[in-house]
Amino acid sequence: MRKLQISMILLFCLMLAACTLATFLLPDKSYSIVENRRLQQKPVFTEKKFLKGKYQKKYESYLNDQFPFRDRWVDLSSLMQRTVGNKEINGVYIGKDGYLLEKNEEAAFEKKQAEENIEHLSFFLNNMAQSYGKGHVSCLMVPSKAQALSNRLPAFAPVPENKDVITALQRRLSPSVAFMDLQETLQSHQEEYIYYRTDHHWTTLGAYYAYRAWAEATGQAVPRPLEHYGRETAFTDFYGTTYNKAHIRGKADRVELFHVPDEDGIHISMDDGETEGDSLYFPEEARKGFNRYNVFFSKNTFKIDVTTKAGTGKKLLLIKDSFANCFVPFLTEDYDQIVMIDYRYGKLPIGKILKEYEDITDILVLFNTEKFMQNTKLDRLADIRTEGSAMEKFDPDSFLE
Amino acid sequence: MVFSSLLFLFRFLPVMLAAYYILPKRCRNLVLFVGSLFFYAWGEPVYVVLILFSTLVDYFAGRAAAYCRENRKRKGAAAAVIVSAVVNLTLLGVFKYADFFLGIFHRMTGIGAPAFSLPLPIGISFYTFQTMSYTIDVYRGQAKVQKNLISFGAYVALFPQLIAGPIVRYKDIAEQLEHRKETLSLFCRGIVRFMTGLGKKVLLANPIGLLWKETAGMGASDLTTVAAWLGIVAFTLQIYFDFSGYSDMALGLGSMFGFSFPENFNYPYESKSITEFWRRWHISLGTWFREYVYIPLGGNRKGTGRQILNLAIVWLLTGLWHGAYLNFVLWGIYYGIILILEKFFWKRILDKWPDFLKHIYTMLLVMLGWALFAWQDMADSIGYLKAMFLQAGAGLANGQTGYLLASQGVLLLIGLLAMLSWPKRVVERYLLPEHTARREIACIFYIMALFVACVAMLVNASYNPFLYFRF
Repeated sequence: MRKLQISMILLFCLMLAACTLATFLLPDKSYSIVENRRLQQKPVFTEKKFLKGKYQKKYESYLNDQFPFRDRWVDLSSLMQRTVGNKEINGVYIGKDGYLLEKNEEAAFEKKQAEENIEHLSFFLNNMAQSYGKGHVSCLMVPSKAQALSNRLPAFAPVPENKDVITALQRRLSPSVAFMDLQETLQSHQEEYIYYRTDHHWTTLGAYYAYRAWAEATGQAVPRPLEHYGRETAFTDFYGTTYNKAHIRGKADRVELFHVPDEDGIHISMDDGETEGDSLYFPEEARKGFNRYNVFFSKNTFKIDVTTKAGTGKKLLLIKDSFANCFVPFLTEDYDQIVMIDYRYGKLPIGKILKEYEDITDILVLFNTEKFMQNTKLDRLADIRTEGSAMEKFDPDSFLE
Repeated sequence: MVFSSLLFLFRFLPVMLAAYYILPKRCRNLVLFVGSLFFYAWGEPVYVVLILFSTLVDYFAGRAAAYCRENRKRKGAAAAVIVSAVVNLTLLGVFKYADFFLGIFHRMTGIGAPAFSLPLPIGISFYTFQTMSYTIDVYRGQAKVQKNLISFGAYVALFPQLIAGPIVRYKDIAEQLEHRKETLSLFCRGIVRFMTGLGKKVLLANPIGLLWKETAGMGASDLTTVAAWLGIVAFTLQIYFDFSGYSDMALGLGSMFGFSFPENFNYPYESKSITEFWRRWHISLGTWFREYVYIPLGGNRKGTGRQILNLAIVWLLTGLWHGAYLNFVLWGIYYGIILILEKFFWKRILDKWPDFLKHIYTMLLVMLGWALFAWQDMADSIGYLKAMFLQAGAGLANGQTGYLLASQGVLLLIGLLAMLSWPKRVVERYLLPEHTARREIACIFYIMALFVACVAMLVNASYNPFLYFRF
């Protein structure tokens, strides 16, 4: 009996000591590929920070972030929660057929921000419709995965709604703006592979259906059949952002590229020539981290200028977020030039951009509805003055998606 | 610092255990005192001054009271107690209740009153009650004066019970402060108790709390009746596992350092009346109020009318002790009324009821109590109660309700089993009888499994609140 008691005490002390020592012995990491974020580094002790309690907070998150084999512990905790039937882990629904769906947390966006954004966007679009004319200005709102794939949600889980935002936008927009909420379009294809199971983005197939719907509705492009494109599977080992949150490992995702028949003559230039290239695809870049979605344009950045040999004489200004990255390839057959602007990464007011590209003929806005509501930089979209402050660089690292 | 954190498990506790058992025996109280101050200062680097102040005041008040007692100076001894009570209650008053009463004053008179807006020092309600109990015990001659400041400081600041109790009366551990004996079996029991408490907190209270948070956040109009009931059941379980888990951890840690603290919970949700419930819930608080308020006021010895008044005072204070908000006061009054009714009217009726009815009666009242307790704004409470009883929200049930049930049902069931004593009794009686090797081996696997599970949940912790922090 005494022996057993001693072994219990030894075991307990050993478990404490082993983990404690491991936290000291294992080297600290600066970045988590799996979670796609910078990890807390050991804070520097100062009396002032200690008295304010800041040091303590940082130290605790340091200990948490750098805990030995952190990812494995998180895996285990996800597994336990799942075992007792929990259908959501860290804000992610564990859906059917291996789908992980981010829960639309209402707390994640501020109502005021969303209202302001609606104001900015509708102002911009109405203005553009006046300058460029009916049929040349359109806006696509992409629903989040949990909305589009309501069939993959866990049993009884409520389908999130963004109706308020959509109707508010619709009400404010002039009839000459072609506005499309893609929820119905995508829901009608929800049995197909239109969103990644483990990432919040849509697949290229999802983008294709949106493109076709947009082309049919606006007449700005020719809706082409699926067979028109040369489909290539670029990756089969993609575990995306939703996986990183929930740590539930199911089947990996497949990233597909839809090649247009003639890709020669495509040239891209990012941020005024900082990066130049002759392809829309960057498989090498995408292989580096976990994020295979980066195969499209390799990253999100403020400005990407795509020129093609489409020979249509049309030029497009595309205000977008990351959902547009796999949508743009379809447009390369319809436009000679596509100027992509992502306002999360730059500050140049829209007026100056329009002045720089005077020969723009069409305007398209493509946002994920939820990301649109959270965007804090859209006031620049309403700034249509042609004079103003110079472009400031934005640190994309602080803006990880 | 809280026990349910990686910082405590892998920084503080190993260092404390090592220092305590490696340094010479006479340093043990010093180790506890210094370690406990650090433990407190980690979360409250400035307010640590308050706890030192309270310690010093009662150290000297106790010595003065003892001196006066020995020399038969009754008035002097009484003065020492009054000084202690005034200082401690002033601390509490300024840091916990000032804004509350100034607010009431402002509303009643319309005179503008400034707000202190001081953040509440963690654990102030616990340690001021402990230091007061010391001076009173010395005055009554129920405890010997403590001449060693280190030992006394170790008693006041003792980290296991510092921030959330149990409220240990000085006389209960006076002997242990000087002559405790750390033994293998005590340490083993401590480990099992600590890990059980950690498990209650991390594996049950936190995840169940998420269900409560979800229903509470829905807003009364979106709430279905079934969801409202699920939510209140979740809160009932969360607050029990949270608080009793913390007490378990405190008791367990105490054992590891050779102490035996009094029990604080005794399966309160098995009670058959509210009177019994309060004998089993937060026992150390009830004891404190009985010992230092109810009995000194005359208890039941001065007639029924006086007894009712005494009960009313005690329950008003009990409510107020939980926080400087109206809902806590109302919650105290609510229990005061039920207890008075039970004592004088219902007891005879209640005694004739079958047990299951008594359980239902008790739990219903307890859950109603929590619905009052959970919100600082009465409008929220009323909205929630309406959804529970009047279907004022989104009807009886909807898809969301089904989802909550499907997603959290198993966890709730586990919680319901874990809050009762019979599953444990059955296991102990038929599978793992006491003093058998089988039981010890099972315990070893039990703590290993709990350890791994708790660390995993803590590493992935996005939600780890601590309800009794506010008190």
